Amino acid sequence: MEKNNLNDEILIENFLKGDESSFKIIFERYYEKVNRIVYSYTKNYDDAKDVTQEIFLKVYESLKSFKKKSKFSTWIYRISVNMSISFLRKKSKEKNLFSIDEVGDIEERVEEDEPSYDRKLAEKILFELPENQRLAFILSQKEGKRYKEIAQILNVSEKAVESLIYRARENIKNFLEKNKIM
Amino acid sequence: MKHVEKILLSKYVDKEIEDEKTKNEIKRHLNVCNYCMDIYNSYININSLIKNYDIKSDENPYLAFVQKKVKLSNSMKTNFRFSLSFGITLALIFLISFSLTLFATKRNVDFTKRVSTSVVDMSFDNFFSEDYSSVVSTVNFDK
Ligand SMILES: [Zn+2]
Repeated sequence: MEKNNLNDEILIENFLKGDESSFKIIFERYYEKVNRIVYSYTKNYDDAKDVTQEIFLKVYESLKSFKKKSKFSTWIYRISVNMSISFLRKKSKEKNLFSIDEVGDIEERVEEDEPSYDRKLAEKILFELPENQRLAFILSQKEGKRYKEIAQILNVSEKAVESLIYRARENIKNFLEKNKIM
Repeated sequence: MKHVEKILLSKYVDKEIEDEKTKNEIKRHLNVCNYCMDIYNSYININSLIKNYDIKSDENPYLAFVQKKVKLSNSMKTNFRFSLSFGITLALIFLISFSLTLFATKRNVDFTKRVSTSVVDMSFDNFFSEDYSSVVSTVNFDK
């Protein structure tokens, strides 16, 4: 069987037996997903990149302690959410300490190829949403997660996820109508 | 006509309604109600819009990860080496000062012992030379 087709759990077992290439596959499988989640918090491309790397270092170090009580994807998303939140807290403390005004502002990304109108619009819409609504909606629509798993990742009830996603939809709908986009 | 609750429509769009009866009722209602169908369609459109959310990732993030991992492990090794040499230095300082203290104490004890021995010797000398002999002589005289 092609290594790339192995499921997460088998790859983790192989990695724990000393096969580094299995970790590479996990990394490549999750990098963009994790990066998207982190970016939805940091709103800053470089910060998201750094935090994502830190998350993978943490995952690399703590895979031995992964208890398999939840799916690996739930576990890694939870780490991503927690580390993004602590990054923001740390940054906000530093901001208060040094009173740098620009910290936390949405930074213009320097990209060689300009993102498409749809991509920019999607980002604009998502960043209009409150943090929890935004994350629940991204996990559901972009990462294809079920409400149950989102509840585990965000550490809230399934009912709360239902409500977050519904309110996200309504907020987006109002935003689009107000700006005559749809 | 009673419309479908919006939160239920939102769940329906995400295929999160498990109860078959409820699912069928919503499906039937959507076929006859334009108001609910409009909301349903707007939710579907929002979904497809949000699917465009993405961020451009670097050329080779795994390479960056490996470099970071190596850097971290090197700094940990350096830290370990530093802690080790610091520990050894501390242990040596402790050993040297301990030996010096021990040596000094021993010398002090020897000196005190010598002094006290001579004092005792002197008192014994005195005792035997004067008092004791006098006592002995007294005893002798008495007898
Ligand atoms: Zn209706």
